[in-house]
Amino acid sequence: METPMIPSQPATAVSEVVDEPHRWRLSFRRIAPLYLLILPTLLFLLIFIYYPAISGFFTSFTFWTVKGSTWIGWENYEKILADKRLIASASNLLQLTLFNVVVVITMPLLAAALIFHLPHKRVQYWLRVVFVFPMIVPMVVTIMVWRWMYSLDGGINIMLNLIGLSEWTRAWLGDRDVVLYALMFTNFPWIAGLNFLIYLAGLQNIPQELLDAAVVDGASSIRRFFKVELPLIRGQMRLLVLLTVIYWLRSFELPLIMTDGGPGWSSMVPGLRMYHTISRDFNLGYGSAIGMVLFAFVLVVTLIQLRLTRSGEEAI
Amino acid sequence: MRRTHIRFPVLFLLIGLMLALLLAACGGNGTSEEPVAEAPDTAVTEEDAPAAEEPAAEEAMAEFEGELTLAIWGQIDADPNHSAYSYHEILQQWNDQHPNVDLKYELIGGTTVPDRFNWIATNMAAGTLPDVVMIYFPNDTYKDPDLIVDLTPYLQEPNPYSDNPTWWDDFPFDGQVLKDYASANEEYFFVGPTQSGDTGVTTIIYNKTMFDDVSVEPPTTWAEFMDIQQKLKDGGYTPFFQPMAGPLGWLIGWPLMQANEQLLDEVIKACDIEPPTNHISDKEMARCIKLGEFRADDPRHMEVWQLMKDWSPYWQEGFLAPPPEGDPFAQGEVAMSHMMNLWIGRYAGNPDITFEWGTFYLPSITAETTDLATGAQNRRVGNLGAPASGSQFLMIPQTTVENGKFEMALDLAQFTTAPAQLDYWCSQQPIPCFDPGTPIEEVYPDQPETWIMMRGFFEPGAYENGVRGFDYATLGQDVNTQVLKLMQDYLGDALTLDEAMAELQFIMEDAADQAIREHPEWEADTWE
Amino acid sequence: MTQKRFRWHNYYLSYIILAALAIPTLFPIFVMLVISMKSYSQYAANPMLPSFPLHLENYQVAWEFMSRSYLNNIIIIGTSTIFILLFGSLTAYALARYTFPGRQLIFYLILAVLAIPSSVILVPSFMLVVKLDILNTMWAAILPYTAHQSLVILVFYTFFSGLPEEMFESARLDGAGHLAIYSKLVLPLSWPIISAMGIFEVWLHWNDYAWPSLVLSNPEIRTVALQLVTFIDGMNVPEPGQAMAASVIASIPLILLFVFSMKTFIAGLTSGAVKM
Repeated sequence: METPMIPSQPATAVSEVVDEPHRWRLSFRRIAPLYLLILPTLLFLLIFIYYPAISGFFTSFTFWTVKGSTWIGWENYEKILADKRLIASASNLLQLTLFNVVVVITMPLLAAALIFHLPHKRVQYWLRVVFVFPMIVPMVVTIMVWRWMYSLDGGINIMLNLIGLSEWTRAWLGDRDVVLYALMFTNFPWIAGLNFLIYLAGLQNIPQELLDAAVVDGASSIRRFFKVELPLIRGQMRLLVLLTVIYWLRSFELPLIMTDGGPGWSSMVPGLRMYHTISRDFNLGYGSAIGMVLFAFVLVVTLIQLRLTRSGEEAI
Repeated sequence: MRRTHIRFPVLFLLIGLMLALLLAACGGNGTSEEPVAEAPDTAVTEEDAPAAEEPAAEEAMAEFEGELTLAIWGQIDADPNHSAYSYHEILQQWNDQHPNVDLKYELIGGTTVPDRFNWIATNMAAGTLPDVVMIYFPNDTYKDPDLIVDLTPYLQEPNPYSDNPTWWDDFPFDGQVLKDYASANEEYFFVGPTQSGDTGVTTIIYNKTMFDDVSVEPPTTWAEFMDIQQKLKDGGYTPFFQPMAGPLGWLIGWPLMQANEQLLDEVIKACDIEPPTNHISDKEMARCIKLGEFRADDPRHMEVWQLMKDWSPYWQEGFLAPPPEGDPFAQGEVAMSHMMNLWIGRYAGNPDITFEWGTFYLPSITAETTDLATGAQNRRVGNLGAPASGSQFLMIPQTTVENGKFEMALDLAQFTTAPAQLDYWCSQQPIPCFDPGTPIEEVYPDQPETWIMMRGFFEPGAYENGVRGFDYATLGQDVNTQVLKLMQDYLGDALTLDEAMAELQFIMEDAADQAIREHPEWEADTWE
Repeated sequence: MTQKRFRWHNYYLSYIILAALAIPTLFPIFVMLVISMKSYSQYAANPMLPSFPLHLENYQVAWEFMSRSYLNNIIIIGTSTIFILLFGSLTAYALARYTFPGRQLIFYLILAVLAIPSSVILVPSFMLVVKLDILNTMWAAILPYTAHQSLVILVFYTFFSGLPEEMFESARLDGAGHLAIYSKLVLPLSWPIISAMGIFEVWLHWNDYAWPSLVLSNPEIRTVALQLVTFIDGMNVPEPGQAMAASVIASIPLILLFVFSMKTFIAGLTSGAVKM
C-alpha cells in the first residue's frame, strides 16, 4: 500500500487509527505509563466538554426555562421535522462545506508550495510573515471590509465596472440568487494562516534526500511536486479536509455576521437557526435538539469520510 | 539517520513557565479562598495587593456591612463627561453613607441587547446574579416574582430617604415611568431615577438643504410623507435610508410598530384586558393570538405591511443588503434617516456637516392614505423611562433575599430614587428637565436652530403617548428575527403577502404556545 | 535547496502568483490601520481609503482604556496555551506511536469533541463553572480553554506519526522511557508545529469574547477582548477610528508573538533536527 517512491515512510493519516493493524504492540510495563500521559487530556475532556454535552443532550428532551425544565420526550425533535425552513437550510450548508473543502486543498497549499520552493531564505521568511500576519485582524474588521466589498459602491462592483461588466453589478448580499456565492467568496484568497502553516511545516518535514533524488532524476518541478511532495503531505491534507468538513458543517459565524441568514432564508444554515433559538430566545430545549441532530450528522459524515480516505488509500 | 541534539532545557523551561503562570493565576483570581502558602515569588504578592481591603472607616454609623455587587449595563464609571456617570456618583454617595459596605460593580457581558439578556438569563438560571441588577430594557421575561423581588408592597411604604408619604410618590408624573413597565398583574419589579420631561427617544432626521432644494417641508400626514419623497426622488435624491439587514436591520421595527399601533388601534384596545397599564404584556399578547383577536391576515395588519412595501421604492438602492460602513446621512447621500437621541451628538455641532438639518416625527396615517386608517395619532417609540430616555432601572433578584442582602439592596434602590438624587440626576442630563407639554421654544429659549434640530424629539410629546408595546418581539426576540426575514422576502418579491402572513401566523401561534407553557399560572385554558 | 541554480526567470511566475495572493490577504490589515487614523467625519465620508490629516490621537484615547487588561490576558492565555500544548502533545505522542487497549475509544472521544456545537454546551458549562465555584476567577476561562485540545491533538498526531519509526526504536533499545523519548526526541523534532499551534491557540483565545463575557464579570480580571468591546460598545457614541485604534492596540501582543515565534518557527524548520 505504500507508494513505491518512499519506501520507509509510514502513512500519516488520521484515518489509520480506525483500523490500523497493531504495529507497536508493547509489553504491559511500557503500556501502563501511556495512560498516565493521556490522563490529563482525558480528565479535561470528560469534565469540561462531555459533562456539559451530556447535560445538553438531556436538555434537548425538555421544555427548558430559566426556572427549571420539564421532560417532554421527543417533542423538540418532532418540531425539527416539521420545521421546513430548517431542513431546507441544510442544502446551503452542504454547498458551503463542499466549496471550502475544495478551497482548503488548493489555495493554502499553493501558497505554501510556492514559498517553499523559493531559493532565498530571507524572501521565504517575509512571505511567510505576509500570509500569517493577517490573522491578527479582528473579526469586526474583516466584516467591515467584506461588507464594503459587496456593497453597491464597493470593491467588487468597482472592479466589474472597470472591466466593462457593469450589468453584473448589484448589492451582492441583498440578492437571494447570489448571496450564497458571495459568502463562499468571502475571505478570498482563503489562505488562512493556520492551514498555510500546516502545509508549510509538512513540506519542510520532507527529507531533503527525497527532494534531491528527484532533482537528480531530472523531474520537472511540477512533476516533482505531484510525484514526491504531494504524496508526502497527504497526511496534512487529509487532516485539513477533515477539520474543514467538521468546521463548516457546524459553523454559522460567517452567515451570522455577513447576512444573518438573509435576505429571507437564502443564506440560512442549521447552526444559525440553533444560535437564534438559544441566544435570542433562550429556548435551550429546542436549540439543544437542533444541536444534537447537527452533532450526530457531523459525526456520521466524519466517520464516513475517515472510511473513504482509508479505502481511497488502499486503492492507490 | 542522524541522532538529534538533546533538548532538556526546553521541557524545563515549559514546566517552569507553566508553574509561574499557575501561581500568578491563583493570585489573580480575587475570590480564591485558599491562601497560596507555597508561593514565594513576587507575581503573587503583586497581584494580591489590590484585593487586600483597607479597613473601613469606623466613625460612620452604618447599619449595613458586607459586600454588595451591582451588575451594571455599561461602564458607568468610565467617563466623567457622560450623563450616566452621575448614576455612578449617586451610588458612591450611598456608599459614603454606608462605609462598611463594599460596593462592587460587575459588567453585564455581551455587546447586543439580546447578548446582555442572555447574560442575565444564564446567571438567573444558575442563581449567580449580582445582588442588584441594572436593567436598561425592563423585560417581560423577568416579571416573575419567583425570580425577581416584587417591589409593589415597598412602594406603598415610605422611603427612608424621602419626606413623601410613600416611595411611590417619589416618582414624578404619578409614577408613569413605573407603570410603563408594570406586569400584567400590576406588580412592579423595576425602579430607577427618571428624567422628568416628555422627550421621545426616536425620530426622523432630514437634510434641510435637500428639502429646500425641492421646496418641501416636514410632512404632517403619511400621505404628505410619501408625497415629499416622490418630489425628492424626482429631484435626483435618495429619499430615505432604511437598512433591512446588517447591524441596523432592526430599525424597521420602529415604523412597523407605529403603523401597527395606528391601524390596529381597536385590536390593541381589545387585547389590553388588564388595566391600568395601557401596555400589552406577554400574557395579553399570547391571549390575543390564541383567541384570534389578532391575526396576521387581519386586513388592517396586512395593510401595514402593504404600506411598508409602498414606501420601499423610496429607500436606498439595495436596501435588502447590509449597508456598507459609513453614515449615508452624514455623507449627504440620503435625504432622511431614522434617528435616536443617543446618536444626535454626531451631527450637532459637527463642523464637517456642510448642510442644514432638522428632525420631525413620523406623521400619522390618515384616511387620505388608506380607508383602514383609524384616526389614532401616531405614538412615540420610546416611552417615558425607555432606554436612552434618561432612565436607569434596578431590579433585585430573589437570590439576594436568600443571601440575606435584600434590606441592603432595597436601601440602595430607595436611595437612588429619592427626590434629592432625582434632582441631581436631572441636573446632569443633556436635555434639561421640564413639565410635560412645555413647548420646545420654552425649553430652549432663544435658540431657533435648536428648535429645528430637536423638534422631532419634542412633538408630539412622549408623556402618556408612548407605544403600547404591540411588538412582534413581545413573545421573544426570535419572533422578531423571523419577522425581519419575512419582510425581506415580501419586499424582495420572494413571498406574496398572503404567504408571508400565513407563515407569520404560524410563528406567532407557536410563540404563544411556548409562552403559555412557560406560564401555567396564566391558566390559558380558561381564556375566552 | 539548490541555491546556485536560481534564476529570476525560473521564479517570476511564483512571485506574480504570490503577489496576487498577498495583496487581498493584506487588505484587511491595511483597512484597519487606515480607519484607526480617521476622525468620525473622515470615516463617514470615506471608510476604506486613507484621508488626511491623520488622527493619531485615536491611539492615545484607546491606549488609556486598553492598557490595564493586558496582564490578565497574558496569564489566562499563557497558562491555558501551555497546558494545551503540553497535555495535547503527550496525548498525541501516546496515540501516534503506540497501540494499547482503549486507544480507538480515546481517539474517537477526542475527535467527537470537534463536532459538538458550542452553543449547546454554553449554558451547561456555565452551570459547571458555578458548581466548581470558580465563577469570576481566571480559572473559569483557563480550565475550559484547556479542555479544547482536540484540534491540537489531531495536528500533533499527524506530525508525530510521520516521524520515522527507526528513531523511536533505537531510543527504546537505549532504554529510554516515554518521558525521555518525548522530551529528547519528539519535542525537538516537532518544535515547528508546536510553535505553530502555540501561535494558533494564543490567536484563537486572545480575542475570544463570548465565554469570558459570561464568566469574567469582575472588572479586575477582565481580558483584552472584553475591554475592547466595552470600549467600542460602551456608553459613548462609538467612534470607528478609536475603535480600530483600540483593535490595533489589542493586537500588539499578537503581533509581537508572531514576530518572535515566527523566528522560532523558522529556526525549527531550518535546523538540522528535522532532517534525517
